Amino acid sequence: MKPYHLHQLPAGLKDYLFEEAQRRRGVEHEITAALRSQGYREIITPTIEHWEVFAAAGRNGWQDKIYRFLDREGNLVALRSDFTAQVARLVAHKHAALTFPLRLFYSGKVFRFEELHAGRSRECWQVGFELLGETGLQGDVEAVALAAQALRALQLGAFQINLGTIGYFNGIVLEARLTPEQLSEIRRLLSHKDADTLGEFLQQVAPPAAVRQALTGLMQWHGRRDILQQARAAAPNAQAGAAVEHLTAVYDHLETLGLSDHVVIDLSEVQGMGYYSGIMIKAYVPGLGYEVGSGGRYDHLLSQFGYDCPAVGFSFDVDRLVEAIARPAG
Amino acid sequence: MSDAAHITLALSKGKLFAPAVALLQRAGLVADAGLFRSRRLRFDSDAHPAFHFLLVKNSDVPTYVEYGIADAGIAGLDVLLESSAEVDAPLNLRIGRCRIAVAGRPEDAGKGYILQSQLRVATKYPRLTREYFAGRGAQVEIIKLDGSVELAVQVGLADRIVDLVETGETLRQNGLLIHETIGESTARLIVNKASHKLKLAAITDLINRLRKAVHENSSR
Repeated sequence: MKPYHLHQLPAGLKDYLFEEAQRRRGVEHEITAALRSQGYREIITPTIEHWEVFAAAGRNGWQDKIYRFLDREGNLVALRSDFTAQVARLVAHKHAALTFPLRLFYSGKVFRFEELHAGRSRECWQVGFELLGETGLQGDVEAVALAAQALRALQLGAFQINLGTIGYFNGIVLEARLTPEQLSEIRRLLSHKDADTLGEFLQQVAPPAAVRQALTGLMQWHGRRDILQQARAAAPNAQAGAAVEHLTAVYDHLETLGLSDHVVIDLSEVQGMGYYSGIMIKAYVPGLGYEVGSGGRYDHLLSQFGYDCPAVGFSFDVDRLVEAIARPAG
Repeated sequence: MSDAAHITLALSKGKLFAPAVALLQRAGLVADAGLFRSRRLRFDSDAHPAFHFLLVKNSDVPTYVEYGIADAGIAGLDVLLESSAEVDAPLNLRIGRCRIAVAGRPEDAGKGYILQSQLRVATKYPRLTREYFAGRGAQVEIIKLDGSVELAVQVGLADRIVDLVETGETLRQNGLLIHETIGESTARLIVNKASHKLKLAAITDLINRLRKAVHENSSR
């Protein structure tokens, strides 16, 4: 028998042969064609960067997933764990020579040491786009509409885009003085819609009663446009209120574009990259139990690299899309 | 995962089965509890044309739901935490109540182990057990067992066990005592995250029906 390491891949990694490789190229081609048609231009970034670039993009738990190592000069480097962090680094450094709003896209692998659960692997092929220098409403609508256009180009039939915003949550916890660990646990429980456990946790942590009420209430804001009005009425402060108003405006624009049938609102969906500052987007297709793409607004990430610039982006998971196409719903 | 109006629910065949079916009856999703009497593993609801059931092993319920093979399922919190599945858990069904506890010999109760270089713990819940002891600063060697965990201490395989305790009777009969309670577990309704978006109306209906049934249960 051959030694194990000569015939087994490390967990979470795969070879793709022939038709399976071709299907992935096909999906990549459909998406990039849709992006190009809207004036997005390609960039290619390195697979290895200084670790700090990726670490800057994360919050609790994120850094543990980065594949990092020392190069021969003793620099701490990492495999690309996120394209958006690289884009932020690149655009911040070269901004003087770039014209904004800037529309760009990428296609390539990201590496994350994920726990191996449904739909997760440790090398993940992403095709995504970033829109930089376009603030709020216009940029958000363009990002969602473009994600929808690409999904249509893939001819997946039905698809659902989930819209949330971290702004509402951030508004609620603004004056609550919770630790980063507590916030991260609250976000996790909210995202799992686990009202009971959240209630118990909040009893322990004991934030002001208004904060507790608003956080527990967040779980109800899952549905169509009508819940936005209710969430607006229940907003505990101006920042939370503004976040809902913004989301409502995005929704109304998407409605005029004929996309509202594809949109579900969920304000309790507060898990995502640590740098998200506004809307958060996830795309689902029938027949697949996990999202095929995700994105959001990140207005403060570029300033970490020395240039203040609003931005929004979205990325597709090529392997999951291929899986969705291969498996008919039903 | 079936088309938009149809919902597949994963049920476990273990201790949760009878109370779960009773709850489903109250929710109008099962008419006759005898529906599941055959040895088949897939059933269509006899009370609601859009509902279907899968019968799977207790600890597999989160897996079926996370992959979206079942849109939703009924699983104990113990199983859910152990699996760390990425699923929504929108409703506490308040059935199958039990404690997750550390148990051992009566004479070892209250004896500190945090400074010990090693403590052997047998359990069906290695993840929960590791997190609990790590959180207390103890070094433990975890022995994963699939059943008859109570035996492990008696025969010298382990110093402690971590297991579910309902009445404590099994522990007593095997000469064990609860030393520490880690937490309380009840059954949860869990929902696949994609189904929750794609079949929002049907899932909302399911949650509302079950919430009402739970409420009736507790106010009886």
